[in-house]
Amino acid sequence: MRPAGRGPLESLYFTYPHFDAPGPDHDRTRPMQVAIIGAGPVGMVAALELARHGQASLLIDAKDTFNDGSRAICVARASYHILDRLGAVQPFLDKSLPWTTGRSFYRGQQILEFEMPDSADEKFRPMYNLQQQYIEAFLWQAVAREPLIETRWQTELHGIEITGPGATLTLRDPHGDYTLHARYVLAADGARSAVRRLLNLRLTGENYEGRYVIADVRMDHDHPTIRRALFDPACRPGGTVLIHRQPDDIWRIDYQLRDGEDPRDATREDRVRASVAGVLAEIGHRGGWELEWWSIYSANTLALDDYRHGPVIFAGDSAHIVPIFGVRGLNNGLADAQNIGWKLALVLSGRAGAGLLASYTPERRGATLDVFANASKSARFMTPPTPGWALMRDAALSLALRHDWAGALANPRQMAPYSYAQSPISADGAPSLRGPSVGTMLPDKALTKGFLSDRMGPLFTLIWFGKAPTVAHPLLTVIDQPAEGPLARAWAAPEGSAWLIRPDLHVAARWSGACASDILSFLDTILERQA
Amino acid sequence: MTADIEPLYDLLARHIDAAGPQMTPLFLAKVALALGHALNDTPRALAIVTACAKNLEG
Ligand SMILES: Cc1cc2nc3c(=O)[nH]c(=O)nc-3n(C[C@H](O)[C@H](O)[C@H](O)COP(=O)(O)OP(=O)(O)OC[C@H]3O[C@@H](n4cnc5c(N)ncnc54)[C@H](O)[C@@H]3O)c2cc1C
Repeated sequence: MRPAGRGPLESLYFTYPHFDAPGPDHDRTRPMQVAIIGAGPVGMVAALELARHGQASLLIDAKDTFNDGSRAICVARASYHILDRLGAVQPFLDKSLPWTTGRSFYRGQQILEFEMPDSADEKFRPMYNLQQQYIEAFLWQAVAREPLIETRWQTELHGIEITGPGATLTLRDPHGDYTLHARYVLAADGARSAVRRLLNLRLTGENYEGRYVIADVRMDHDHPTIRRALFDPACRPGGTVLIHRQPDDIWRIDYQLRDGEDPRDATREDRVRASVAGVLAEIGHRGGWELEWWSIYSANTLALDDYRHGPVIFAGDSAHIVPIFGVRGLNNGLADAQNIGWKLALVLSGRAGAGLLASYTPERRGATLDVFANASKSARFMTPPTPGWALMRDAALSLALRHDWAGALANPRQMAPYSYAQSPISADGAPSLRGPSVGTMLPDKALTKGFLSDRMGPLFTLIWFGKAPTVAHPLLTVIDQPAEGPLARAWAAPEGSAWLIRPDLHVAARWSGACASDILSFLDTILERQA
Repeated sequence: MTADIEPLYDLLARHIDAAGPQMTPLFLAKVALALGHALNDTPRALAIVTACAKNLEG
C-alpha cells in the first residue's frame, strides 16, 4: 500500500518500467520446450540458468512491469553465487548494502551482537540488502540481453492441461486467447499460483498467529547497515520490531501487531504513520521522514508435498511460503530456480536421463522443511504462541542483559544453505575426509588469483589434490590443486583425494585415493538415471 | 555427598517475596535457565525439569 494520493507504482525512488505485450503478428503458438509462468525473480533466474546451459525458454508474466513494493530485501551469500554464475552479479554488488552484524535489544538495552561468518576467503559477504524492484530490474537486464529467452509481458496463464508428454497452456494477452504446447512448465507464478490452483494442488503446513506490518520509509538516518531487533521496546510493549537499512536512504521498519489489534485498522495510513513515528523516536531519529510503502503479513510455513506434477515443476513462492523474518523466501526460491534450471537443461539436451529430475523435490523441499524447523523456533521467539513460551522468552531476554550465553537464544538462525547430504544424487566415497562434506555448499577460498568459486566449470568440476589423472567427460572440468597448497591445508585434503562439485556449487561426492573410473562411473549413475 | 541446599531454599524464598506474585514466574524461569546452564548437562537438566513437573496438584 502507498500513502493517499500516490498510485500503486508511484515510488519515492524507483521508476517502474512499462513493458508492452507482444504485437498482434507475433508467432504465439509455436510449441516450446520450456514455458516459465511468472517473470518474478524466480522465473527470471530459472530462464537464465537454462540459457546458461544452452536451453531456450519462454517466459510469460501477466503484469506490464515489476512487482510493486520493496518486498524481499535480504539477499544471502549463496544467492550472490547464483547470480555470479549467471554473469549477472555486478549491478547487485554496485547497488546493494552488504552487512555482517545484527544487534538485539531488550527494553532499550543491547543484549546481543552477532556476526555472521565472514572472512577474506569469501568472495561475497554473508548478506546484502537490496529492494526487490532492483533485484528484478537487474535480473531483467540479464534476461533482456539473452537471445535464448523469449519474454511475453501482459500474458496471463488461464488454463493448463497435461497432455501426453507436456502440457497445453491457455494464455491470454491484449490480442486474445491462444493455446501453446510446452514439454515442461515451470510454475514460478508466486504465492497465489494459478498453476497450482488449476491443477488442484494444495499447500500444506501451518499458519502462525502473529501479524506484522512492514513499512518502508525514506529518511536521512546515520546508522550502519546492521539488522536491529527490538524486543519489548517502549514504543510497542511486548512486541518485536526489526529495522533494516536499504539503498537510496530507504529503511524497513517491521513491527508486530498486538494481540487483538485489528489488521484493517493497523494498516490505515494514520496508524502506520503513528507506529513508525514511535519506532523512530525510540531509535533516536529526530529528522524528517517520508512514508514509501507498507504491507501486512503473517508467518506461514506452507509447502507442496511434491514440487513436481508430471511435466509441471513448481519453484519459488508457488511451491513454498516461509515466514519473512527467516529471510529465506526469495533466497530459497532462487536456489530452486538454479537447481531445476541446470537439471532440466541437461535432460532436454539429452546429456542426462529424465531421472535426474527426481532429485529436485527431495533437495529443494528438504531445504524448505529445514527453513520451517528454524522458522518455528524463530517464530516462537519473536511471537510466543502461549504464556509458557512467552515466559521463557522473557526469562532468556532478561538473562541476556548480563549473560552472553542467554543472548544466543535470541540469535536468528537463518543463514546456512541447506545440505543435500541425503539427496539421491549425493554419494560419500570417503566419510573420513575432513574437508567439505557431501551435500554442503562449496566453501569459498581466496587463491593467488581470484577465488576457488571462480575456477568452477560450467557444469561439474572435479577438484583433485595432487597431479590429477586424465578424467575425460564432456560435462566435467578438472582442476588440480597442489597436495601441500593452501586449499589442501584448509580442507586437510590428502594427496589423491578428490571432490566433485555440482553446477550449483554443492558437493556431489568425494573420494580419497580415487581413480578416474570411480569418478566416471559416479557421473554415469547420476546422469544416466531414467525416469 | 549432597550439597547444603538450605541457603538456596532461603534465598529463593526471599527473592520470591521481593519479586512479588507478578514477577515470581519470570524470576523462577530465569533461575531455572541459569542453573541449567551452570549444570552443563542437558539430559540431567531435562530429567530434573520433568521430575519437578510431578505432584503439582494442590
Ligand atoms: C507484500 C510482500 C512482502 C514481502 N516481503 C518479503 C521480505 O521482506 N523478505 C523476503 O524474503 N520475502 C518477502 N516477500 C516474499 C518474496 O517477495 C517472494 O519470496 C519472492 O517474490 C518470490 O519470488 P517468485 O518469483 O517465486 O514469486 P513472485 O515474485 O510473486 O512472482 C510471481 C510472478 O508470477 C506472475 N504471475 C502470477 N500469476 C500469473 C499468471 N496466471 N500468468 C502469468 N503470470 C503470473 C506475477 O505477475 C509475478 O510477476 C514478500 C512478499 C510480499 C507479497
